[in-house]
Amino acid sequence: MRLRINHLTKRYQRGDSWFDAVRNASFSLDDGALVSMVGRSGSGKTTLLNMVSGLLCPDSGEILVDGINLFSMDDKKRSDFRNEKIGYIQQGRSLLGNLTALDNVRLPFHLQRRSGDSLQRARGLFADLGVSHLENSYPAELSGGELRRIALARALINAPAIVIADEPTSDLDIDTAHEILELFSRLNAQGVAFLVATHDPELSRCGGMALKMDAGELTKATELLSPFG
Amino acid sequence: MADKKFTLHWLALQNVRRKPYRNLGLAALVGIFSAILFGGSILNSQLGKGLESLSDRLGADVLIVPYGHEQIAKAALLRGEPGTYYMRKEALSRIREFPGVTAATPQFFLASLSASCCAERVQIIGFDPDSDFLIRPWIQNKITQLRDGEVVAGSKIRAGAGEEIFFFETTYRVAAKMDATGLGLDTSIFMPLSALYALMRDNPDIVRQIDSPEQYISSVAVKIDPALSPRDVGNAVMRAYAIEYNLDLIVAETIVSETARRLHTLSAAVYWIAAGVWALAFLVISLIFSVTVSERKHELSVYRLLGAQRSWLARLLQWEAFFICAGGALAGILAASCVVFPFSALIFTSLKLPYLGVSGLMAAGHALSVLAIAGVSGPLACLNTVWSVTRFDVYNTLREGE
Repeated sequence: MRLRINHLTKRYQRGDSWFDAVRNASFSLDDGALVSMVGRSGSGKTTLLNMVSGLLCPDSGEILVDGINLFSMDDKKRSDFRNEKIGYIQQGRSLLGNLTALDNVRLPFHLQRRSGDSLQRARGLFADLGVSHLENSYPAELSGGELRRIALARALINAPAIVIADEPTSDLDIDTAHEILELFSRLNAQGVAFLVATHDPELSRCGGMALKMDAGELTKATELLSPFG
Repeated sequence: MADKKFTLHWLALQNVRRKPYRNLGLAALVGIFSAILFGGSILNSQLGKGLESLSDRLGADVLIVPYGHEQIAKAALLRGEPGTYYMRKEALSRIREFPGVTAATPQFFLASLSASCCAERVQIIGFDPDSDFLIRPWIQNKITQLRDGEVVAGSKIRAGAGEEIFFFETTYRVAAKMDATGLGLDTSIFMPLSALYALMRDNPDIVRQIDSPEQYISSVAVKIDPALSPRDVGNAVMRAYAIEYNLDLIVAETIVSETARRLHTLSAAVYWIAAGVWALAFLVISLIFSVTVSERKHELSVYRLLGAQRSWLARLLQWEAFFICAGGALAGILAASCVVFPFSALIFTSLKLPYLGVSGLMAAGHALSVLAIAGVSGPLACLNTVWSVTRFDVYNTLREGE
């Protein structure tokens, strides 16, 4: 899948004045790519990620999914796109408290009619991510690192083309953050594309293309040869 | 297959189950509404059947009773309150011969002090098997005639056919049981007039108001030519004999219409209350649902983020509303059943209305109707909330939750 982001702009009103949360942002993302986006909190990273996932409509610009404008699609098609092509790891706690870790991971599989065994798939992911012992735990019982791994498993359940991760290590200790990055690295090596937003400069040195977001302005920072070092 | 459980209904049920306190208030409200509606409709059906039975089973067009005993006679007929009142027997032959009267049959009422069947006094009714048209049509196992020492028992008398019953120092065999009528007949015991007179001859202390019981009867049930007005013929009888024999008139139609009027008032009250509670429940469900769903915006945003369509989210919320309301309704129906079925007799005795029990099928029908109303009300009440909540700004909600 090829994703082209062309001249995206999103404006918000604050008091009497308007400001650009994202201004004229453009980049592209191909299969197996790794794009990290660094910037301070409030610089517009999450706004951009939400537009890329089709949750937030831009004021101008377009996002082309294999040549088709994402925002010309109706709610059903855009939801299908999010469900099939995107695995989203949200900032903070994003698991549903009513469901066990296993059911949280299986949920996206069942939001559409699919054949196959979500249980087997989910258990495979739990094993890969080393959290098989957490299957029946509820989110309230899990630590930050465990929650992030479960969220990653949920993002991967439908074998997406792109994993979008918003500040995936923001509230983790150094060791756990490193483990999560290693997981990203392993999955990227298997062909999963990553778009990762972070304010942690360490993460931007992980490899791939690094973008910098500053007050809504997106610039290409550097392109590293070796993803995740 | 573990995969089978992962349906929209299962997820909705899981959401309801995992937040019991959030949903308990809503379910309780629906439960109260359902209990009133179910209890009210069962009571109404019981009254309706009682009224049907009343008009079917009074059998007579007019009743002639001793003057001043009209209300006591009605109480005996409708509620089985034992009453003893007497008039001279000669009136019977005069009434029979009166133009427009097609049949007339006498009855003699006696109240037992105690009987082996019952905790309270029972009405013993002597009837004339030759002219009777009130009792015989409703005897369950048709018998041609009662032998000496045999009686017919009303449906609520505890002794069954073939069993023995003891009153006035005498043991009687229950030859047959009456069908349930919902009237005072259900708590009465019937025996031929001749046997009752013989009993009173042997026990002179039973009836002290009259010296020679065989010269007396308590009432005359009269059938009138269908071409004539029962009230007109009854009034003509009164004009002719009321003073001479000290008589009073009860027109059956009046009893039925009086009872029907009271039933109508009661039914209307029950349904108005149910409608009021339903309207209130509808509003409160709508309000509470709106508040609880607003609190869940972050959770609902996660569903959207994972690729749930708006219509899927709407169905999820409506299933949740359905489960809460159906659960509440089920609890309400059970609670109402615990009150209505065991205490019907008490309720209707205090309301002074005839009633008949409803069949299991009819009760199940009422329960299903209430379940359906409650089940539909929940999703309907939250329609507006569902509409707005599926159109909220997911991006901002997710950001607020961070």
